[in-house]
Amino acid sequence: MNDALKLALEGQLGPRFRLLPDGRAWLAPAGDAELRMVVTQFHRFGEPLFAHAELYRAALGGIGRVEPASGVVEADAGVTLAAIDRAAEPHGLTVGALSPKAYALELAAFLEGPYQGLRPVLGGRLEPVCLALEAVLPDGIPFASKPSPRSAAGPDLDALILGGEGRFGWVSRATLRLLPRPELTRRVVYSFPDGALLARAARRLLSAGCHVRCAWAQQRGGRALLELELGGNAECIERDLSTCSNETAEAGGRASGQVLDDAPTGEERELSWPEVVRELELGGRVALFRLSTEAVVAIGAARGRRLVNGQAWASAGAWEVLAATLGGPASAPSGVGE
Amino acid sequence: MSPLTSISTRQVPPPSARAIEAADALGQRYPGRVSTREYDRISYARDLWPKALLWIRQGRIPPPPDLVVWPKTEAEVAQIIGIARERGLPVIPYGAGSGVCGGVWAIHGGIALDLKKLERVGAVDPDALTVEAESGVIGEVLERNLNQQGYTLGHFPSSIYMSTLGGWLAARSAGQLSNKYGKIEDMVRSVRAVTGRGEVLATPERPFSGPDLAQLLLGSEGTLCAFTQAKLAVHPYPEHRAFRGFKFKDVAHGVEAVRQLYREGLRPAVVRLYDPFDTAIVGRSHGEHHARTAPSLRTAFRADVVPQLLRQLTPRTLGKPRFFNRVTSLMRSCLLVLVFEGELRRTQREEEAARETCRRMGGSDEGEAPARRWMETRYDVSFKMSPVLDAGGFADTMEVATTWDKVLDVYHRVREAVAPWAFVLCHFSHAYVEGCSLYFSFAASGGSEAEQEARYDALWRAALGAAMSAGATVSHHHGVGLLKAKALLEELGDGRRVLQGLKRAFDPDGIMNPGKLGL
Repeated sequence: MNDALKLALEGQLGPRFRLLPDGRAWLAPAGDAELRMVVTQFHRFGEPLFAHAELYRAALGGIGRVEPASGVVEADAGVTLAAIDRAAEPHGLTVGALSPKAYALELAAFLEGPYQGLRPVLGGRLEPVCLALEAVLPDGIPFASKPSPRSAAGPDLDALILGGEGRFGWVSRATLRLLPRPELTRRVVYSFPDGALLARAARRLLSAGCHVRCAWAQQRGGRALLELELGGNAECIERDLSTCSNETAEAGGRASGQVLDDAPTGEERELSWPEVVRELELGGRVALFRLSTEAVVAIGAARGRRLVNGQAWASAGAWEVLAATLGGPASAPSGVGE
Repeated sequence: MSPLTSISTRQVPPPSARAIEAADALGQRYPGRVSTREYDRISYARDLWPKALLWIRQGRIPPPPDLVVWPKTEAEVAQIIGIARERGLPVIPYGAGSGVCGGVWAIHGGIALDLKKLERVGAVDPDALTVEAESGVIGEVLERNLNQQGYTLGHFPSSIYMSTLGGWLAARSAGQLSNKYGKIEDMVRSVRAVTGRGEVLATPERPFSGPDLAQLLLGSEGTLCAFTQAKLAVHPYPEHRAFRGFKFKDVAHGVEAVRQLYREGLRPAVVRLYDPFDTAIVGRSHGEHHARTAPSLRTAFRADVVPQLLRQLTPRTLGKPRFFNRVTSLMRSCLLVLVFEGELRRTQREEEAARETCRRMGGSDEGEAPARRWMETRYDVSFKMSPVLDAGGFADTMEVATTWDKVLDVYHRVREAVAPWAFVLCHFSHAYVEGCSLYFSFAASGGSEAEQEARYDALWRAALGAAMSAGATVSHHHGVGLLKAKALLEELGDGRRVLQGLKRAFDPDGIMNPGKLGL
């Protein structure tokens, strides 16, 4: 990192600037204006902020009023998902069924990082938890999108920042869409001839609109076991139980009284369903979160995408071109195309 | 003036010298699939933007492309865009031309790239619940193919008979059953496209690291790329449908009931709440299909006398919107149409739960009939514009979206803003936990053709201005095209720089559909 840049940041941030042992800077802007200043300085000196600094946004720690009719809330970048969830609780709302690690993340890390700001919604789909974003673009210019449930007003520009690890913008605040908090939860266990049929049933009941909050899967005695946690009001749960029992039977499964082993521990990874099947075939057991028909976040898996920054991005060429044209770092992002 | 105006091909400017060179080069590669004929160029000069229809009624032609090309493969699409890039010719990706915002007007000429020959639909993957399809397939053909395999996409725009998958992707389309299945961007697992660089771009499927590239391309309306293929989520074909209609004493109660349904975890496939005026019109429809006679086969009475009469009457009705809007504002009662679909027992239970909620919110149960009637006539709206145009008036629709807390404000402000210019009615559909879309229909008449066009522009300025100032986005599913380009840039603010950056990245020479999205 350029010495002149270090001096400039030190002068402007004082104790909120430190050098880390690995030579990168630790920066803790006190608010929006300082965040913009920091990003602008890096841009001025032609240094990629994401590569040379750790941006700590805990000072951006406000949670706005929960708007009860729409169920939306504004939150600053440094607030954890767990804190937002607690703020939503009195209104009967929640940020959604996330994985344990995701709840512990600060909003900025959840949106910009490997979780890509996604949560599951009915129908087996994923959607960004944010309805709109406020961010600082790599050249220091503020960016704000308009809150709308869906839009056809051009491409979704928020998508550039979600999962972007700060390469195309740094989140300062977001408007989040909350979901109804389940009044009840209920667990139910099904047994299948094999992991592939378990995965087929799971995807079909998600596609049908069941409210699955999380699940556990393991192989035992030549059969694949799936424990589901359903959430909602009593009527929702009854409907979902009926659908689960149909889809399970279609896949050759049946209800089971077995108790699964203790929940696995370890890091969270994102797995496709075929990868879940492979885990089971190899005798693994996994806890499944953020379930969609596309992919899940799992604990206990040995394969799948590690949910940490710095992984290689797909479509590397496209991102290099975008980084070069969107006022981003002069050189190609280091993690891209590896 | 006759409603079926003849257009002189002498109005059509000849193709540019560069375009003729390109046509020669392309013609050698794709014999029989390149045209510079005037009637082809006129046919590809427009979509269904009502402004184009006003122009045509005046005998004016929207700016045509210089040539039309029909590629059959993704590789050919890449070659064509490469040739266009070398020659600095615009490329306008073209599906079935059912857009309503002028998204295919060739304002700088160039190549109309008709993608309908890319029409392959793959087999459904029953485990992944996905299908791969090429972008030129017509929506109804895609859905029928899926139905034969035992699945549904769940995407039913009213243009389904005359729109393509590529058009849906380009404009972030929504279908009438989006409440359950989502919009097209919710269904996309990955896309393949050819960018303005002439390069094929394939977006990754989950799990992947980094931003979601597909979401940056969807909605780009041909300004960044031409879509060639998509992998989409599908669902087992529904076993059962349940229908129900409710009347509410006013819009506010109806809106609150819909919001409550979503809060209670229900996902009807169809949710349509009609405002009082729209309710009066919907209530008059009988759900019976009357075969329409083609204009050339009509009797003299139907072809000449009836339209003449209508043209005289229309300015006295549609031409006096302020008065009639005031009269209709005295109406109160609203109709809510719900359709649930899926597995039998689940669907029945959902419908029962919805009935309970609607009753609790003050709705009166109208039975199955209103929803069944809607289902039977659900595509008719696409064919209702012609009679209004024949009668010398015009009609258009505006779909915006916002969160529940702003829905009523958007509704009242748009109605108020448009009241001096056009009849206005509205329905609320495409609901989400946090809000919904408002779909306004306008109809107006009066004055000369030039005055009508001025009225058309004025009403759009008023309507969009009111919607945006009340907090709505400029489009929920029709897209932007030329019609809303200025409003989009206003909505984006500094964010327009990001959009412009995407343009520079994917289309550095600015050849892809210039002028749309304000680019």
